[in-house]
Amino acid sequence: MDDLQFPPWRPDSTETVVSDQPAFHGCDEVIDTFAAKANATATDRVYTRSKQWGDVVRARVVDNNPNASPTLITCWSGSGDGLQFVIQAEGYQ
Amino acid sequence: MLADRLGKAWEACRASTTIDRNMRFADEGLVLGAGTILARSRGSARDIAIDANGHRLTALLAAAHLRNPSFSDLAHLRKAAEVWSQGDDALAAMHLALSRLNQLREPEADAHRLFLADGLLKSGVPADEIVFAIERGPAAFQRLHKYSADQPRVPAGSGRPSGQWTSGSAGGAAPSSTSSPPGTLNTGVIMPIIGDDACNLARTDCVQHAMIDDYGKAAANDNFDPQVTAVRRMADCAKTNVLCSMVSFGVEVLPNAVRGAAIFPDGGVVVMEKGKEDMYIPRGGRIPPQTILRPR
Repeated sequence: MDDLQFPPWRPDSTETVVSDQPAFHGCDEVIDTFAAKANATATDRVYTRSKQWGDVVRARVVDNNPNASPTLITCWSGSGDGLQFVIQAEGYQ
Repeated sequence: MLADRLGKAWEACRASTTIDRNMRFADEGLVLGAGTILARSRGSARDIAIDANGHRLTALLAAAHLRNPSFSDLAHLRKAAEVWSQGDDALAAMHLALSRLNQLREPEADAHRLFLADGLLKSGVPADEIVFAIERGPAAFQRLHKYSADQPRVPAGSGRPSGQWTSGSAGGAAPSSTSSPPGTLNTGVIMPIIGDDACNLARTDCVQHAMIDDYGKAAANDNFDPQVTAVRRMADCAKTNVLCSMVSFGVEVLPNAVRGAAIFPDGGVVVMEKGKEDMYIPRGGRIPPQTILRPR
């Protein structure tokens, strides 16, 4: 297993926010699938692009559980062939 | 927030309720502590059913007594309810006593935990989670009297019971930000755990850390209520565990996904790669963004 680096939850200065969302279809699909399986809704999507991370999509995944925190999901293309994604509860970054 | 609500509810309860250290049958059911109903009466006050296999009852009693009730203990409770329904108060009292569950040793603290457990159950927290937390919590709580909150702790995955306070540099087995390159998790020191149970193991440590950390803060700060944050963190640990399994599933089935990771609230990380076994890297301090996970 190779090293895994993942983008910080908040976009850094090397990332550029972009709006051509069709280019992020793969990550959108990952996030939609994850949210659906979690019976939740993906909101607040942010699309960025950088040399280090490639195409990055960040989203909050919100469900109906008031006792636990929303989930943050970050998906990125990197420089390889496939997509990578990481999840974490909001508030622990 | 649930924990806030429970805290306020407890204050209100204490202002209006006297703690009863002895379990008793009342009109509303089998009652213990600050009026917490262990088993509710049905049609009449004498009609109380005790489910000896019930998870709710087990969780409540575990919270009250800091131990899991045995089947024999619960069988006596069931028998007590049975004879109570037949009007034999003396025999009912005898079976309550034989259950060894009928009396709180430390009424205030025991009743408080019982009250919180009841509130958590009513809020949808699984009974198993409560039992699990109770199993891990007391030891951590007791250690507060001996150790300070910022002493080093044995890292998970080190081969010793993890998360415990220790002395000297024993806790230094975990890599620190000063001994490792920035953003590097030295998994040569923290041995990764590989296998299908990675997410569950991560949750186990996460819950334990929630108890230890927050009660540790309570020891250092009188104004810090560990119940408020520990409850939330435990819920987030449990939720992350569920989502961790989904990530693992997603990595395998989504054609474009090659790798995923779940970061638990305590900093433990589970890394999942398509076609490979999941890998859990216990926390060795909080993991900052852009951390490089360097598996073995």
